[in-house]
Amino acid sequence: MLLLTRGAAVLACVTLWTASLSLQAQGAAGTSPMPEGPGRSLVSTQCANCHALDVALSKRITPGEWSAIVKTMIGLGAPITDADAAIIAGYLGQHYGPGASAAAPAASASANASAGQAGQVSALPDFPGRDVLTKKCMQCHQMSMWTALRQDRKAWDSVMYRMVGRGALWTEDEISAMAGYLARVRGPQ
Amino acid sequence: MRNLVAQLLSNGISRRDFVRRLVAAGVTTTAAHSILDSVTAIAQIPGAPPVSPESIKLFQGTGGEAFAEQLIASGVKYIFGNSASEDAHFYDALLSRPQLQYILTPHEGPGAAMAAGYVKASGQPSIVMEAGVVGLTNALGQMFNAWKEQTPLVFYSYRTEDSLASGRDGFEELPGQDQLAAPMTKLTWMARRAEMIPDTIRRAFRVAWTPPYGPTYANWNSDFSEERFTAEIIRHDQVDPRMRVRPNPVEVERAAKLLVDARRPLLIVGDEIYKAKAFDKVVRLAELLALPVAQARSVHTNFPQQHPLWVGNIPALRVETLSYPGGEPDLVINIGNKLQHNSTALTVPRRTPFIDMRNDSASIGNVLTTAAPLVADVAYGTEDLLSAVNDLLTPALKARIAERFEEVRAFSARARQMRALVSRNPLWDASPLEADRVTYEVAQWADKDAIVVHEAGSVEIAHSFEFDPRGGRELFFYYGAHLGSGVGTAAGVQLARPKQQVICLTGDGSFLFGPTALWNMARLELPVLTIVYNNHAYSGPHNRAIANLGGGGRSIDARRFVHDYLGKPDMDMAAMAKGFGVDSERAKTPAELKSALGRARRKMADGKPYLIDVEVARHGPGWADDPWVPTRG
Repeated sequence: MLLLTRGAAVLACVTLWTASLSLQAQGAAGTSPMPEGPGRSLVSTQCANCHALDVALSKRITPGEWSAIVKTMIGLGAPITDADAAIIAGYLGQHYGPGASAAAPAASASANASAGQAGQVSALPDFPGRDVLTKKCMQCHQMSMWTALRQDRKAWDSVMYRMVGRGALWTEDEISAMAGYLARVRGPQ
Repeated sequence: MRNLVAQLLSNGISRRDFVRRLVAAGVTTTAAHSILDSVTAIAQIPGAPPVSPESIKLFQGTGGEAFAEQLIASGVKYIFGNSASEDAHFYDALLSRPQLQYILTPHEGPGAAMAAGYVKASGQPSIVMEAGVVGLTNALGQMFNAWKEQTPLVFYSYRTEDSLASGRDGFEELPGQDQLAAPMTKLTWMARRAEMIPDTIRRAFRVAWTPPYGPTYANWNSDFSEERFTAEIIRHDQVDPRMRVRPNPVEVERAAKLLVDARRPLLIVGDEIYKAKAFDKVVRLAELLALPVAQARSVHTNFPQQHPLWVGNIPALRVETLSYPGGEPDLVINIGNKLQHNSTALTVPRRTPFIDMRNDSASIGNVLTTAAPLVADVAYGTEDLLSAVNDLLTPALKARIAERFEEVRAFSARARQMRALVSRNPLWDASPLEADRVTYEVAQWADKDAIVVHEAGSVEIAHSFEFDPRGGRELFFYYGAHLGSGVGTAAGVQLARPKQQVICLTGDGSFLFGPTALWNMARLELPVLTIVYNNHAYSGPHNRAIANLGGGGRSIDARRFVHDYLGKPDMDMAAMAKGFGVDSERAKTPAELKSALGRARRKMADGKPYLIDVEVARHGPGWADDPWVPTRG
């Protein structure tokens, strides 16, 4: 279930929204290039559909705060699916989080994805199984449902079959690919 | 006296005042009542339609007696109540009216859930009685459920704020008592004089049972119950508008055209089908057009799930999340589903033409735009649509539809196989049990026409239970989500359907909100099986809180959650059940569960309820094995 109203976040993003509307289109002078990584094109298209990115990308906030902002944008009418919202929030959380430089190196997108950030990992490293995971899991919920977990392959297998119990229509091959991927990027430390 | 009669007949004075004034003028009380009876009887004759003596009668007695008389005339058999001394005259009236059976419920919440379960399962009227404000407030949660689920349940409680002692902050007094119920009832109405009691009750049932259904609340000053008066008692069929609406024929034509032209249509079904008992018609429409059928959140299952056109529940309340043959639908028709929206995301995207058929005209177009709104009783509406579609079908269209039927059949068969994969979970045989294993074992054990009352939090049961409202297994889901309804609902369902097996699936969290109806099961010998999925936690809030924190945050880093763990000490639901007079046991392994189910069957065959408290695994960060508990500061 999405919870859309968290006072401070709403206020912040409404401010962000209105400020952004007054700016010129994306790519204005002085804007740093956006790092490569999953979600980059979505941010470029979906967010920039309605407002310029300069002010938005000047923020350095946590993945949770990015997620709240994206939800609020949906509340304001942005036609973004939950799956896309999760990817967008993940991208922004990784590259525009606290302490991030204005232009994070492109290579860091996948390299850092499984390396920690204490449960705030939002990007998806490019290993086998990533595509099927993106397609299947994010059909219904956000990455934050599982990015807080670290467990072995058996436990990830079990998670996948519990999702089958919750209505996911997946083949055994797809389950194996997703569990294998998660065990690799979210295995025991 | 002529003036008095004129005033009475023009409703200028009450019957009570009529008698009082006659007595003041020197007429004896007996004679005054006799005059009143004759005048009122005469008043009914001119121009009145012929009615049988049983359908409208004049009754003389106390407010409590008149209340009981009108309940009988409104078709009530069971009254679900908790004791209230101010209703003494009503209780007294019941002793000479065996048609009314009073079921004492030890808490108004589960009591109201029991009444709602009875109403939903029987299609018969019932009433919940509670003491003034103090009892009413306990029942409000289930009133909310009835409101959300559109259940025609009538609530009553007396009030003290209109008594001679009102305004003194008296016992149980709350100014504006009816405002508590007003936002979640179709009608909240107070009898302003004692003789309005029958009228008020009659009206409450009439409004509750006129589609779209919903709860109503009647109330009056506690003093009225002992007052004597004469009033009309009118049978429900004399006031029931019997509202069953046919859809606008122009919109039917439009909808039929859209349906036959669509390449990838989708049918969503909902609870109005269950209420109208329109299953066969909806199945015929689906088959005529080869419509894949899905369901969004509902109380009941409204389409046979073994049917080759059944493609499953919509997982995240949006049609895009539904695995669907051939890609996203190019047309969606909804028959009878409220389509609850929990976010700004739309169940049906704006780009997809949408046909909405419901009797709840007020909510059509509230969120979704409609290409063809069909305000109708869904049985009539589906009938009309069947006829209109039949007129449009050509051999070429029929061939295309036949092709689609085979595609959907293949998809549906494959989906069933995929659901069955749930048993490949590597923890399938583990202890504590996987919740899915519990569901699977119960489904293996259940009768073919068992009724499942489902209040087990986030447990999904579609992998093991296939429902068929046309005589197979039936579902009563906790749509309204005020927790504590499951056990009471199951008791009410069993009361309504004594020949069917009733199973209550509940989580430990929801069970704790309303276990008292177990005592009603024991006292009334209602052989319900209650299964508690006991993970000693609120797992839904645990997982959703993590998601809402974006997968990070201090709680997750520290593996410490303050809001969701119910262990240390673990609660023993089996012991609680024994306290209510219900035999029970705990199960910690699949083998123990199977064995317990065997004992339950034997007990239930003797007409006794049974409870199994099943130890279920917790999953997720921070609490699988040894959860942290906040220490006392």
